[in-house]
Amino acid sequence: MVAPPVAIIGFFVGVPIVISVIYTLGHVGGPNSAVAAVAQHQVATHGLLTWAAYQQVFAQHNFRASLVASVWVTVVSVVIVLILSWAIALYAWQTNSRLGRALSALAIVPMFIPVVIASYSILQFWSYGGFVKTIAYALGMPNFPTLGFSLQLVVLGEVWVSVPFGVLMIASGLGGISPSVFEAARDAGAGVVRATLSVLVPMNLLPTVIVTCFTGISILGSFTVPYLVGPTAPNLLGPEATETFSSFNEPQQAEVMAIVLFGLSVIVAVPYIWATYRSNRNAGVQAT
Amino acid sequence: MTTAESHGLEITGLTKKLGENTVVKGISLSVRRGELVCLLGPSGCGKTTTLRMIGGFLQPDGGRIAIDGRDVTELPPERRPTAMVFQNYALWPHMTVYKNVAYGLRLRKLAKSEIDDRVAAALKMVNLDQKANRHPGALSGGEQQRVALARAIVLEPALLLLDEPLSNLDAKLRVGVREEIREIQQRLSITTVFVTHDQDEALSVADRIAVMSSGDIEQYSDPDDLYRHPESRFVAGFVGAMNIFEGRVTTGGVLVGAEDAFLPCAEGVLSGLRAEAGNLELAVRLEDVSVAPASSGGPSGGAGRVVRQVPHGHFKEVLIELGKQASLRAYVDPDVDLSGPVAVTVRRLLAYRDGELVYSSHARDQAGRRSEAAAARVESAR
Repeated sequence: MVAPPVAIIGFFVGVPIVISVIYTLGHVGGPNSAVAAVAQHQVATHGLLTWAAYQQVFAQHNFRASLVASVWVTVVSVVIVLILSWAIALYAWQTNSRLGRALSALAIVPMFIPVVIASYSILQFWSYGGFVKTIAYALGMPNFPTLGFSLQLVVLGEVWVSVPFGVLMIASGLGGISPSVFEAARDAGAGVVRATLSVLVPMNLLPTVIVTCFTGISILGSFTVPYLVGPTAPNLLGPEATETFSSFNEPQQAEVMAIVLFGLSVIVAVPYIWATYRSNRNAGVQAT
Repeated sequence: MTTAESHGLEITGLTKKLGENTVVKGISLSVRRGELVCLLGPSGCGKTTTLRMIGGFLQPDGGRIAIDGRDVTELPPERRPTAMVFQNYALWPHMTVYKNVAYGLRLRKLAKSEIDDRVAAALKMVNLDQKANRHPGALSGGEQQRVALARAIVLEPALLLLDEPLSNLDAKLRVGVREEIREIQQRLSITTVFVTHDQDEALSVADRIAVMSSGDIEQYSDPDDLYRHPESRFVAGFVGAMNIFEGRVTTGGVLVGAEDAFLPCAEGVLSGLRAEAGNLELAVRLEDVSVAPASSGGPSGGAGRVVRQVPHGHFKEVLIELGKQASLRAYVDPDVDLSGPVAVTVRRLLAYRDGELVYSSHARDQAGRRSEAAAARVESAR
């Protein structure tokens, strides 16, 4: 029953992936011959395969700087998203107050705002001629720093985009935890922070890992936010690969970057696979 | 006579509002050291709210809570000398049984050897020393309940709080575990507050029971006194099986129902009640109703007919019709044939007016546990 969809996915997704991978390894004939005919600076091998395209890309300072920038933006954004998501979800879970519910609802709003519009809004707010700078100028602070076209603004944009998913996941996980397990930890002598770290975080580990991994993968491969609000270079690998593909007409190098991004994403996905396996195993134990 | 110093727990004027609703209405309660007190009442009566205020999980709107003479009203749960067993056990599923029990001791930064010793002793006490490395998910409900108890007692709390700890267990296991709880509580002499809505549970484990209704304490007595002398109509109806009906006193018995069916009482039962007392709410325990076949030549009684019999093994519960408008339930010997007309006599009787006890046919014990208010009401009714 699953054979037809698997076959369709295999043909429409799997085959292009394989063609791209062998293209990055110097295979310019066959299905790659059309693109190879117009591409610049490509590596071709008449032997088996070659790593030369990878060596060429990694030798570029711009690429290495963008790789570091991608990892930096991803790590910082994910940490901020986790902190914000946990704080909002935990507050709403513990207090069940009107403020908590309002915060939870507000945290979801970015999900309904197109990323392009949000990115331009963020840019308008923080850029050199933006709202913050204007207010600072009016208050007599002409040298007030701006974040326009910086990696910091990319972080801010990525956090804006990712917080709704984070809050939804963490809040949903916390919703399945009885408040009494938290109270039991308090009763045993733990303060709020200790009880949260030793009981709630481990019990809500899978949603936390899902937020970490999915947000991480999403930011690593993001395009719109860094393209619109980020610097020209170094920027995230998404815009960098696009520029390499379109502006420089170097599809082979662009695909190398895409495969590097895929490799990073696989590394980020490992904790998710581990947590899912662990969760399934524990569920199996509890069912016995 | 107890002194303030001997109170393991003293609650004074405790009040709690949730929204517009006052769920605990200025209750006061003293629990002696080493005593097990049950808060008993129907759902929504405020017993769990009271327990959560004692544990520090809810902040009272008024009143004071003192444990071993120390005011803890403003303290958070982690700074109170209490330990709670939650209704759903609240075990931490990612920790083994050992780690669950050791958690509080680790927070107190005790030496590893001392933690090991105390955890082992606590687990041995609840017969789970062989399952220290299991996760809670691999334990039965009864075992999880015992882990929760071990986790609480290992901290050697001044006050143990039990929030309906047996409600998730099946009937047979519940009886066994409640006896274990009582035995451990007595062995360790821990002052304990036990919340339950199950009267059997309360009557079987408690030294004293506070019956709560609508945020207030209706009666605070030992189980025997509570059963025999319920001071209010609510307690009479809530604790134990009871026949409650309206009636008037007449010579040798009472007249009940719209047709004034005559229900005779044994000699002396009505000695303190005057016929002029008028209409009263009368309460008779099922075991205080004598039922015999009318033709047996036994003691004469009101004529009735058994319309339903419910076997309970060593006794059976019968429903007797006294005329068309009045009926009475009673416990009888299962071997007696009650298929024909029966004679009914009341051996003991309580009378209530406006929901409050005004007469009891059987005197309380010599300790004089009857409250002054109830005694005064009885006197005024005579």
